[in-house]
Amino acid sequence: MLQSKAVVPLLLRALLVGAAVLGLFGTAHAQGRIGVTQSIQNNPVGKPPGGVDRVLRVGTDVQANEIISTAADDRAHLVFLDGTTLTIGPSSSMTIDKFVYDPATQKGELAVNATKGVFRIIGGRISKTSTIAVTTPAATMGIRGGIAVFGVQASATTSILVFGNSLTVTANGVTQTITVPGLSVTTPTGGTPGAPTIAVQGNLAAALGALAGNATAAAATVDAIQTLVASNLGNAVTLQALIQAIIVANTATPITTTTTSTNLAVIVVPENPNQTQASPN
Amino acid sequence: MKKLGTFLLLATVLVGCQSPDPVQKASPELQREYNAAFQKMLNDPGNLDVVMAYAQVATKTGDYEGAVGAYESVLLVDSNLPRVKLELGILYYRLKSYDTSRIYLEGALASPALPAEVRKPAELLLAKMPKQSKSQRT
Repeated sequence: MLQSKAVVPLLLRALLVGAAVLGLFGTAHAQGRIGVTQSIQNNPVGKPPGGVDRVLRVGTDVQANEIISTAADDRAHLVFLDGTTLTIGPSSSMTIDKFVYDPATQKGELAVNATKGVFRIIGGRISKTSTIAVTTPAATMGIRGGIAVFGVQASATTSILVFGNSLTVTANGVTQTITVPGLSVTTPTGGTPGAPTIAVQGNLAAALGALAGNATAAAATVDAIQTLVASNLGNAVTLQALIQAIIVANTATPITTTTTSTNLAVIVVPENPNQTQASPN
Repeated sequence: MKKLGTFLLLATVLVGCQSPDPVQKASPELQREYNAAFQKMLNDPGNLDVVMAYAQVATKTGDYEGAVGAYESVLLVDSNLPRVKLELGILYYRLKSYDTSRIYLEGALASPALPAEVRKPAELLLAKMPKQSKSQRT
């Protein structure tokens, strides 16, 4: 009898603890997935909050506050629930500081903290209404509706606007804003962002090459991909017509419309707003 | 000068606020198709058929960034896929990101594996590339 009296509270306690643990797991699972690993090379590693290191494989869920790191031959391509994609190049390390997304309103917040390496962000729904924040040892960047590539070294961070409305770079009270694709800003660690300059084509190509890597798939996989892309592109005749149409469309609304607002392209905002000035590119 | 700076800053902010989302502008039917393709890709990200289907519907919807993300992911599977690079070159051209477009088109054309029948359209696009920053190339 004594035994049963003692067992009941123990069982009750065990049940309560079990329920709490299950509840916690349930919450973690429900709130945990913010995206998924879409593509990898070799063995990129993710460390979810409170978890242990795990090799990211295609299909591995990614969580908020997860630390992602790559060795010299690793790469990872993540897709978030809002459609944002993040490609992490070799020898890189970063934390997904914040991801909040409401599919109903298609609004949210995304913040990333990168300590080293090369990576690319292609904005999804969130970036259409909010600025994606990227922090590095040298600067804080904000991307609005676009594509940007970053190179993060201990000595400096280089930010390139590949496409989009704006990329701001802020450090030590100074902000540089790029609104023309192809421009870059370099910020020495501990210093202030330099004036935007046209990204050297070789540097951009090298960054894109580093992000793509050097993987070689089996011949059958390559054939399958080429066939699928060919199907998307259409045959030579339709492709020719498509390209003619694209050229006409872009000629009708040339980028020079944006570039001619050259004075709008580069804004230097010093700490003292009275010193605000425009810099030509 | 101060007024000019304030005006330019305001103009930049206003320009920066304009982020039209082509998906929201699409017809309800196309939005459903887009959302279904995206969810399918989230749930089966390693399935190349699914990824390509999403890229296609994203392109059709005008979400060229979404399509770019999908094709870029395929380059991690194999980095020497001239048709994928050609598609990326076209998409970046549509986005008026000409420097990046040029890199991918040149990469596609440099590959002997690019089929002859699509070389001409690719060369045409490269030839018509606006010289936005060509003078800065090294």
